[in-house]
Amino acid sequence: MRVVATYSIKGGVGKTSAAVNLGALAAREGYRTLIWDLDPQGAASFLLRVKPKVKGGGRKLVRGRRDPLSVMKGTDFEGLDLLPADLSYRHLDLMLDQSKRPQRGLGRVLRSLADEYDVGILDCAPSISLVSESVFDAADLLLVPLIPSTLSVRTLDQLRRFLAREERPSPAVLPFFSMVDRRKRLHRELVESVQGVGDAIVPSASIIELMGPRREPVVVSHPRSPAAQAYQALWGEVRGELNGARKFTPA
Amino acid sequence: MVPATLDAAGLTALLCDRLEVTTGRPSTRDRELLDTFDGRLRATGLAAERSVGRGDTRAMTLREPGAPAREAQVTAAERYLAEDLPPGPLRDRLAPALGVRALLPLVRVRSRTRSLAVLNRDAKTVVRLELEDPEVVGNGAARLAPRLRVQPVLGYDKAFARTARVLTADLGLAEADAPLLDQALAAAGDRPRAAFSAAAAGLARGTRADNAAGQVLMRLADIADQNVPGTLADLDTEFLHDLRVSVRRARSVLREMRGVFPTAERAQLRSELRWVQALTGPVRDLDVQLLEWRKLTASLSDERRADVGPLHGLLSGRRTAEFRVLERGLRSRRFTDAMNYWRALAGLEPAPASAPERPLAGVAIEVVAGDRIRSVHRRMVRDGSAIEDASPPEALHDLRKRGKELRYLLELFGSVFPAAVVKPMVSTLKAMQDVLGRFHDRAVQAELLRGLGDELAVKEGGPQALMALGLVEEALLADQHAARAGFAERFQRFAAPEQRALVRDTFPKLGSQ
Repeated sequence: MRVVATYSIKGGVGKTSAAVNLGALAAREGYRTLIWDLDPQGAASFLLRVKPKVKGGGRKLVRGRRDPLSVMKGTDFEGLDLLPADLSYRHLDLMLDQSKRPQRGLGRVLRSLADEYDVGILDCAPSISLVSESVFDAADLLLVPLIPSTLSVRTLDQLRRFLAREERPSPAVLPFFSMVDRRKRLHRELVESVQGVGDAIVPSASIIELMGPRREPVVVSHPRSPAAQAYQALWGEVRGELNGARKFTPA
Repeated sequence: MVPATLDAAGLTALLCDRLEVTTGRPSTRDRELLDTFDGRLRATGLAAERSVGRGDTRAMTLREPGAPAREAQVTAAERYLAEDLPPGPLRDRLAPALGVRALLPLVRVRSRTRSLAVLNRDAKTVVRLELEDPEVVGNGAARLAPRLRVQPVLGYDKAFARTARVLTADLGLAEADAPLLDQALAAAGDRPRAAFSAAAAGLARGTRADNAAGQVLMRLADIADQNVPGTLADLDTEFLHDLRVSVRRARSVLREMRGVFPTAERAQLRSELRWVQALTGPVRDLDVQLLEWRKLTASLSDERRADVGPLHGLLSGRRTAEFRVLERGLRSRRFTDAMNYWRALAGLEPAPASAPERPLAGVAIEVVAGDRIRSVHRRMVRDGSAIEDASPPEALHDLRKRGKELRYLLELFGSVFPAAVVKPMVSTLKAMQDVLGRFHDRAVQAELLRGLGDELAVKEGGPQALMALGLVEEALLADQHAARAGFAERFQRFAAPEQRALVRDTFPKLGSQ
């Protein structure tokens, strides 16, 4: 299984929207795909119409005492399954800290599913913590949504510096512009000037916001919309990277 | 699941009435169903199809119970080898099932389909349904029974059980007893794929030898005929292989059934079939080489593997040239005459009791075939026992040829003997033939490659290819040695005293009854 994590230190930047749309696209191409909703708020679970609850709680799952397949749910999309969120994930740092080799915690769970899935997508809560380190350990690719703002670009630099300090091999980092409003000059300027960012640009669009009430990815509800096409392009880049294109792999 | 009496519209209405379902828009799916010529996908529970349309690309879909459908865009080709497919989940799943075989379009089916989903209180899909109303298009156009595909969703077992109960108990639906491909092929008047190469005729004990051998020869002629168009279309190398096997088997029947057919006619057909075998041999040898290319070059380093590229080109080029010769031969008058002669001899009138050159024609087949089995087995035991480490390769080659004779006798006439004897005998024989076959094939392959040396040397990159060729040949000879080393043990099992006693008891000597 190749693992991609939608990750950002900041919240509200389009991580969950990317995770859900990419999951639907991967499954449509026949990749057996899993989304793990690691955010205790359970936004991805909500969008996929699954109750944000792990039977028996998250602790047993993370500590390897519960078969993840027994708590997973199929979604409305053939080939896309969900490991739901759980409120107990608000203490995920603590759960990991109490286990042996905490940084390996999430990877352990994913490895047990390696034969069942081709692609794993981790939808992470915004933070930089022990959970993040476990995500970096488990993921082959970090997909980082970038709002075109100075602060957002700064947090990307922070993330890169953090990864560079790590002794273990780091995952590839694929930043992409998210919530871009081309009417704004600053957005246009940043999109053109920031280097090392993917080609796909996800626009700021009301149909993406409407995913909430409709509980459906835009690639399904509005497959021809610019937003859906942006996710399609993003998936193309992610797929290329997972299949070894190595455009975004650190040297 | 197939509803016994309902049409698709009636079933949709009933489903909506009994279950909390949402229905998708109806759509039409026009596609060709695909499989290898010998039904490999069907045997592994896979179902492949490709869309029908204009332009150069088609959508190919692979379905498997309990897994999501896998899709890929492919070129509109007549056939697909695994390596012709784009990399991705579809190819990853298909490649092991296909092996070296080609995926072929077999029958065109157009379906009206409608997706339905059983929902829970959150309007979440908990069971997937697809209702399909299919018809065969083109040759043998016919409507097929509607089908309802029911798919569980992970984590919603109770909902699936409840739905299944409603479908079976309340609506009286029954599980379909054959895949759509089988139904479509049957409607189009085609035979099930797997039956193509089955040559064994269900003979009854007591059947006259001329009648029984005639039936077997006729069936073999049918198989040969069935494989000629596929061979000429060059869609899959296995058509040629099956054609050759049926010819080889027919030659074996003629050789072993001396005294059953008229002498001159038997000699004439044997000579013609020898010609067919010689005509088809070179392409088959090159096919084996190309099919085993990956295995052949597996022991080489990446660098050396790149070096042997020109050799692959040379083999492919030679095959193209040899195929033209084969094509001319198969389209020739001589081939048509040979096939007609084959059928004529197979359908010959029973011999009159007084026919002096056909003394065994009226004898029961179990007596004639039994005598031959006993005799060939005895000779194999004798010759095999004489083989030692220093024996020349010819001794093993001869034994292999006799082994083929015995195997064909057992396969073609085995139905008149107890299966409890025939089956294990075929199995020990097959185990021995495997090592003998490998021993022989590696020698032929090494010889063929050696023969290409001069031609290769003058090609661009030839010297590097020649050096790498040496390594390939080395690997072939090493494998040949390994096969040789495994012979003694397999032969011992084949020639075990209890096995010999069983053969003596089951297959009596002619005239001893």
